Amino acid sequence: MRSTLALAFSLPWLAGCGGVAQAPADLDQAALLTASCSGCHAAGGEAIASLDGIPAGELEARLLAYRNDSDGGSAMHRMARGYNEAQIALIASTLGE
Amino acid sequence: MSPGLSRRQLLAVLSSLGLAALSSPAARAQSASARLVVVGGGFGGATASRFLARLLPEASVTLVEASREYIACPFSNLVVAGYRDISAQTFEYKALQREGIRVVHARATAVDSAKRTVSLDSGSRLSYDRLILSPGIDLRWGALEGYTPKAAERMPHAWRAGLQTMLLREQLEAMPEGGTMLMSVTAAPFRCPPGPYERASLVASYLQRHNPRAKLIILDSNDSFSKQTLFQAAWREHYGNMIEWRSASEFGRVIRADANAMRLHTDFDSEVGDVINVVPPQQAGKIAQLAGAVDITGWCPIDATSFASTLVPDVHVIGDATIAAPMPKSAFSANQQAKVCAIQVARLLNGLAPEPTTLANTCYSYTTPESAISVSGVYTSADGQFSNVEGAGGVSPSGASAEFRRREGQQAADWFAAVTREAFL
Repeated sequence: MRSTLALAFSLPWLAGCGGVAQAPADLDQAALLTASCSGCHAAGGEAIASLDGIPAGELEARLLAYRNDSDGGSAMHRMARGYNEAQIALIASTLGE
Repeated sequence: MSPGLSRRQLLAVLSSLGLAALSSPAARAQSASARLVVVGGGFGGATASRFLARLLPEASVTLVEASREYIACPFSNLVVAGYRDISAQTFEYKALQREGIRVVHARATAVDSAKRTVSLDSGSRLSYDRLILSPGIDLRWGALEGYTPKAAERMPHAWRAGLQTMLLREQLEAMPEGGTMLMSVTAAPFRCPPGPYERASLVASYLQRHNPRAKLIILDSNDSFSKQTLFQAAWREHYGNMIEWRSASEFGRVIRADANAMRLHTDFDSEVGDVINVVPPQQAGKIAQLAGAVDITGWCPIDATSFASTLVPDVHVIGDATIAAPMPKSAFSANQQAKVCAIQVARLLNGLAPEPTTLANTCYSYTTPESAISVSGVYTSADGQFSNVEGAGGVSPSGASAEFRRREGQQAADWFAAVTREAFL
């Protein structure tokens, strides 16, 4: 993580003269959104899945399934309903392989 | 640069105008040398220290925490009821130290927001560019008449985990056969909104096994509570009539505690208990008060996007001490607020404006030693304060199977393992 951040800072990250600064990856919206995930999803859980090694496409499909299953009562169903499709795509592409 | 404007003020102006990019070389220099001080080593402060150190490897990160060990509140109701050892609640700061975080075991006694310094009871003083306060709660001694530190030795609160947790457990174990335990619950807001009712559930589970004719009366200063329907259904299902809940409007509100007589006075009546547990009135931890970061409510108003105090410049507040409703005062919230706050502080130090985002919370409560129920919420920080995302969140289904409840119990255990690893291990 440190090396990624150092690299991000060493590259020009201004998007044009009067433009908007491009945040390094660790400080962008994807990082903010996925801050909600790591407090539960660690390797080695019995009832909460580890996110290690899941392809991004599969992760997105699983999150959308949680979001769109109106009968689902788990905590993950209840939380997934709070995210729009763009947010879910961003989360999946950040955490997925 | 106008002569009256410091670089730091200019950065603030630029960042508020969305022109932060222009200041990036200066901002990068600032981020490299930044002095970050975190006060309070609970779920919020420990997590914040670690994420700041990772996001800003060139900055210095100091965590100020009086205790050498942290004893966690989540899962401590299982300790009270004898289902868990207190050692499973106890965490050290060695992993943080190994990551280059300077952990100072001292009490913060003052904040000078003009000079940007924190004074410690060791006599030393720390300078900061950004200060993150994660002080948790203080108990408002005397706010409930008669409830003093001395009274708490006879009527434990066990609302900060540790000796108080063990004291309540010992008293429960020593309760006479067929005796009465009283619980007093203060008016919201308080740390861990479902906590008193989880405690009642697990105490009832203990009593059912060891003291089946005993009774538990909850004297409540509230008229409703978190996951109420689910709790009350679980109480009927598992514990029959053992738990009696008296709401505020059914004269449940306790107005005075008499520790010598082991008696709680309500508006028109009083009850004597063999064991009395008082969940007392609370406010933000003391250093937040000393820093001037609390308002008339006793809690800390913040900008929900950056967690910046709205009262003190260059100070951020996270966790139980904040006014973050509808986000609850929970370890889950504190951990997550810490991560978001760390990112926003790193953005500010890099000349980027804080960016609104979406946060979530789930609080699990055990209704038996194996089964749990939960409440979830999803929140946006778009308008400087938190609001619920419509259509999301809510509680576990009523009438769910025993297997579903056991699975939520296991999820709770997985959460505790994951969140304590992220904060402390």
